[in-house]
Amino acid sequence: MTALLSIENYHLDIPTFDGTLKVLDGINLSLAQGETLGIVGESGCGKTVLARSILGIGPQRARRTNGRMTFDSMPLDELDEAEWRRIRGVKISMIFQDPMTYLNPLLTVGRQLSDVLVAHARALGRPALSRQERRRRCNELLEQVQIRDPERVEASYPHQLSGGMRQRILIAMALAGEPKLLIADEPTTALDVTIQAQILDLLRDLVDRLGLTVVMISHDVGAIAAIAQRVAVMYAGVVVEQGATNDILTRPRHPYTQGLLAALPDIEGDHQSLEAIPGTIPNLIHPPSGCRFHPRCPRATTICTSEKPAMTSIGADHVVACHHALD
Amino acid sequence: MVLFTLRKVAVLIGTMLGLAALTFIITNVAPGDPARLVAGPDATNDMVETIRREYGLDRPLVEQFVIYMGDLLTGDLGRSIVSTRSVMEELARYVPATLELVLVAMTLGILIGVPFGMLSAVYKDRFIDQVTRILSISGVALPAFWFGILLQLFFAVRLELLPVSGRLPLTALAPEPITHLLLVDTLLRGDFETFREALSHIILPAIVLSFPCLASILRVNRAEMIEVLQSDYIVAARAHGIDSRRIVMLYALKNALLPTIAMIGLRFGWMLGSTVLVETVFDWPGIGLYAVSSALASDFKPVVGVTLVIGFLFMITNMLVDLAYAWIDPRLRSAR
Repeated sequence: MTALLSIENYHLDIPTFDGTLKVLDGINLSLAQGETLGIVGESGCGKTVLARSILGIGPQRARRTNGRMTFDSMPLDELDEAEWRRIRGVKISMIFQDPMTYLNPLLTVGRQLSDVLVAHARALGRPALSRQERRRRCNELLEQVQIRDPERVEASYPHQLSGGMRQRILIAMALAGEPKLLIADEPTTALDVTIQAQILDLLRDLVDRLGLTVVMISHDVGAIAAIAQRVAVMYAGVVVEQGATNDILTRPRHPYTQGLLAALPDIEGDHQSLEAIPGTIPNLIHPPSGCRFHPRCPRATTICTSEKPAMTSIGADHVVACHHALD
Repeated sequence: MVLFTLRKVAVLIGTMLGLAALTFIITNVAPGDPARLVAGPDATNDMVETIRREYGLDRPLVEQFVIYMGDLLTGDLGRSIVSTRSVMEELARYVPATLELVLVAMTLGILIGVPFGMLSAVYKDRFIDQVTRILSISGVALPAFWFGILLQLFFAVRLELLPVSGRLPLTALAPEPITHLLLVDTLLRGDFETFREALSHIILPAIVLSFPCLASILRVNRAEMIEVLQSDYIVAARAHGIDSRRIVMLYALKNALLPTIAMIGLRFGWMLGSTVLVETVFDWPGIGLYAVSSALASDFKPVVGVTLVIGFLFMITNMLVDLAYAWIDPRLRSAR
């Protein structure tokens, strides 16, 4: 099976006043049609930059220094603006973290949604939709994300709607172009717990029903587990472990993955305090030599400070980049 | 929106009354005896007292205030001591000239400031941004009278392209007034020759008046656009495939316009004040010139009249700014 999205040895730098941030350091990921991949890692590990790079909307100053991304046999790194327009929203689309700030506060929901439809029709060279058609399609899209009174919602401005409602609208916008690949960047992080569950249910339902290929990014392992078949664990711009969700969650092999899972509150566990990983995420201007995790790693030895561990296969569809992987 | 407008109008009326009361207080606490001033230096005490009675200045302050407010409401601003004409009549002559100048200058400021602010935000640190940066810094830095004289010397004296000063040549006949704005009236009457003359007279003073305003509109709009273009909803709009021209012209500009409009409102009031200098340099027959000559002659009724007119125009602008805000931003509309 050929991959729908493949990211090979992807390196990304962001120059800043203080020096160059080495944000992504050799990312390898691939995703087949219909697959759901979760990317998990703590804040600042490069998840969002990676996700946005897939859509060509990463930070303006970001520079790819090595590697490539291919989507549907198109080299994403070599597209111009016109070619991007035939991809964004139509082939690859994205849902975002904070549904308040990602909707334009001065335009009605209906206006924003139908703008997306107009843009897609133009991008695909289809005839412009009539007003009624746009209306009908907007209603359809909102109903698809289980909004019961689409007419009222379309006439509303974002500030008049709840967070969960706004996230549904963003999902509807992302699905408007019937994309092949959906990138969900922390889609539940900014929501209340009960709303989180609803949105996750909705997403899972849509993924099943529409057969979507999904990259879901989160620092919430629970949310990832609800959606993704496979998980990639990222640390400081590097994928450290990748495998089937169940494997990773039950038998983590990388010390970082283990630390991350140990830091989760466990409702059935009897320990009182959570185990935090010591230290903080490293400064990416001067990342640690060798394995980027070694300063915080309980198993680190001298080899970890000098040599970058290679990605090694340690089971069916389970890879880990560690000199001292756990058993 | 209707309710919002009504409330704003009510506030406007209240502020107007406040301003009227304030001008009354200032004229009464200001040093100098108006009756003696009117009577002249050689007047006897008897003559001063007669005038005092004639002008109602011997009555208690409260009564004077009631009369003053009553006069204001019926449109009576008193008479100028110098010309002995009614102030209302004189204002009717001078206000349209100033208003025309300010409106043209403001239009220039907006038409140039907003698009170029937008362009320099989109092409930040590129050539166009550098050009507009020089333009806006000089706009804020150049003193109006000096810049005005410079333009007169170059365009009027050296190149002889434009007239040096005035509103119309002495030989031209102003059209029968409709709006009292020459540019509009000449067009409405179909008098294109006079329109051309009026236009060529207004260009230089309008440029001088608009320059600092243009500069600040441009800078504010640029700064806002830069900020808005980095906001989340712009990222989202790009991700949804909306083309960049629409993103800049609608998604970003609409958000960036709010502070720009506030700046426009502020600048409008500022412009009304700075017409004094520009009108003096260009001999423009407006209220600035009128205020200066009246103040120099200690003719206080016209000064009060000018104060009221400028205050009134400024308040109307502020109200329009508020309404524009509410029209653009639905959050303000619903938040009472």
